Amino acid sequence: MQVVSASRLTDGSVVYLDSRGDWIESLACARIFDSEPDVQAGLEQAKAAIAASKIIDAFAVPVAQSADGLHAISLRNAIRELGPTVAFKTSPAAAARR
Amino acid sequence: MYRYDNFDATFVAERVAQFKDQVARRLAGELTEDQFRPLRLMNGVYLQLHAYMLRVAIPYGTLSPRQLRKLAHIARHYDKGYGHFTTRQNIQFNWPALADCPAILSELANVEMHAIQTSGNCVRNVTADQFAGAAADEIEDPRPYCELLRQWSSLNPEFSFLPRKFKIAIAGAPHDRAAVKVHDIGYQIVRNADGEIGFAAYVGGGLGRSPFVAHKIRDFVPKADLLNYTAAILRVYNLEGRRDNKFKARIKILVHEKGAEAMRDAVEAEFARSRDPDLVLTPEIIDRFKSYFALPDLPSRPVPAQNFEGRRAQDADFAHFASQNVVAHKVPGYGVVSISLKPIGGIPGDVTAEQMEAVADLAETYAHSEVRVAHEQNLVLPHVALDDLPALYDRLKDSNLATPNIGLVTDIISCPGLDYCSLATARSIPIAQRISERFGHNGRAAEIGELHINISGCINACGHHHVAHIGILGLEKKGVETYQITVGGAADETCALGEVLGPGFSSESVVDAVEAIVETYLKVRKSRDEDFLSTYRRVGAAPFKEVLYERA
Repeated sequence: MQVVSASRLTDGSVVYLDSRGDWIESLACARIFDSEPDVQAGLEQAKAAIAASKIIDAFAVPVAQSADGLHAISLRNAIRELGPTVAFKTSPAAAARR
Repeated sequence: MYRYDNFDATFVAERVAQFKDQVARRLAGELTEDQFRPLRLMNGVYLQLHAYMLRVAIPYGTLSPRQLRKLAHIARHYDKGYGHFTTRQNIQFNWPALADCPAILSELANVEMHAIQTSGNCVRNVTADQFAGAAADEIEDPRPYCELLRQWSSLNPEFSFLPRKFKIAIAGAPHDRAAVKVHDIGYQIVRNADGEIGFAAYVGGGLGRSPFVAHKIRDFVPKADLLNYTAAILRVYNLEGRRDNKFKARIKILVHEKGAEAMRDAVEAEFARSRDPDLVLTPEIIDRFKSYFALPDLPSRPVPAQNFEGRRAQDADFAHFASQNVVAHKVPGYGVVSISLKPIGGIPGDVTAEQMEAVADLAETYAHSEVRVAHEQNLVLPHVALDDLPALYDRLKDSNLATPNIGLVTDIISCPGLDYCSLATARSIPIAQRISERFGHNGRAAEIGELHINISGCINACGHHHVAHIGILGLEKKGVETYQITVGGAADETCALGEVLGPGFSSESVVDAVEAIVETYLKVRKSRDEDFLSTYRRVGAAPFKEVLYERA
């Protein structure tokens, strides 16, 4: 079971391909590909989005269902999905702005 | 400090305008990523795990309060409110949008900063002793020479496409605080038998997957020849360095394969052949560059400093801070104050916008408007009157910047690791935080004494683990983080690479392993005066291996 992920061109955010062909921030709502030919089809869609300058660096991410939903299996992809595992200090103004 | 002249200001402004156009064309789809990637990297914009990352150069780690406030402004308005100081005296912002990067670079240009040559196979930020111009043990301030090298190597067409990146460091005192022997070129300022000041030249040091301590190829390079000698080294490297294999392309591999003697001969031959009269540094040029870094006019202060001595006698916490974070200044009555960016359990090198502004204010009030960045990921106020230290300490405490742990086990160097970095194979920050928590309470770190722990989240060794007293390298094995431990490394004038103790440890067990090493040290040290490194050099690795592996 895999999803297709990439980085959004404008801000580098982690995005996933959904079933409508959009690139969204939630892995939980990503389109799931169950077979290798389907994954390749997803990566072809990604190539089109790369050509359209929407995303960069697309690749397939192995995922699994767990008690709290769909998540990336590898630590690296889990960190991409969920953000840094450390609580960085932020300034209130920056936090409010974002 | 050095101030941009019209040429510099125009050049950087034009570069920002150029990049603004390049970003606009990229966002409009007129440039592909393959076309754009080298352009953004030339302006310090990387893509990391979660976002773009902008690396801003801080030449030889010297900042003005105005520049630090601008970095705070950028953190707050374009990023998430914090920045991360790196082991190369630079700062990284972890969350900038690509569309904002030209505006950020424009803001930086307004305070004479940029991100040029913070990536790519060129001469990177020339680094220096963070106590430059202030330390009592200094022979001469290395920064004028760093600035000369910076100007000469910035967009130098001959050296813009080297086989691989190239890092130069200069130390100005016999005690090497700039880790010169693990740089591509390390220059140590020395005095020769005739009393002249020049540079001992070390070549071919480096960390990463193939760590090497540099070889000294010349005892004394006269000041006049600094640029020509550097050019000779770079020319030999540019011609002979490997371009067939990225992992064997650094000059350290060339020196290792060719041999230090042959490298010395090649450099000397090239130096003799190509010495360019236009690159000879005349006394007038040197004096001009020295004037940019002149010691501020420091009013005479009473010695002993009564305010300082009085507070020290009454306040044990202040006394601890003074002994740990303050070193001797070349002017009596003054001290060099390190501001630890390693709060107990915190993220090494991270600093909020508000903390940057607080340090900028304190530098203006107490430190003649100078701030330095240490490669150990701390900040420094280089010129503080000891009588002002009590007031400075109180204000540092208000900003959570008074952690008294410079050089102790909790003053950990750590790369961003897998929490941010696309190259990383394991997390490093959480390990640093847990070690800091383990040793950071009840005076335990002070009892242990000087002990440097460095952590890298991959084999590229940005966390300098090879030259730590206790080094930790995070790797991934079968999908799981594993941490290899070395002991006995050193980054100073006694530079040595650490010795691997044995198989790696899990994330869960690595902090216990470090504690076992520390406890063993405490048992075998002769006295409190024998620090960890001295003890290791006396007893070797055997007691540490035994406690980690043989008793299991």
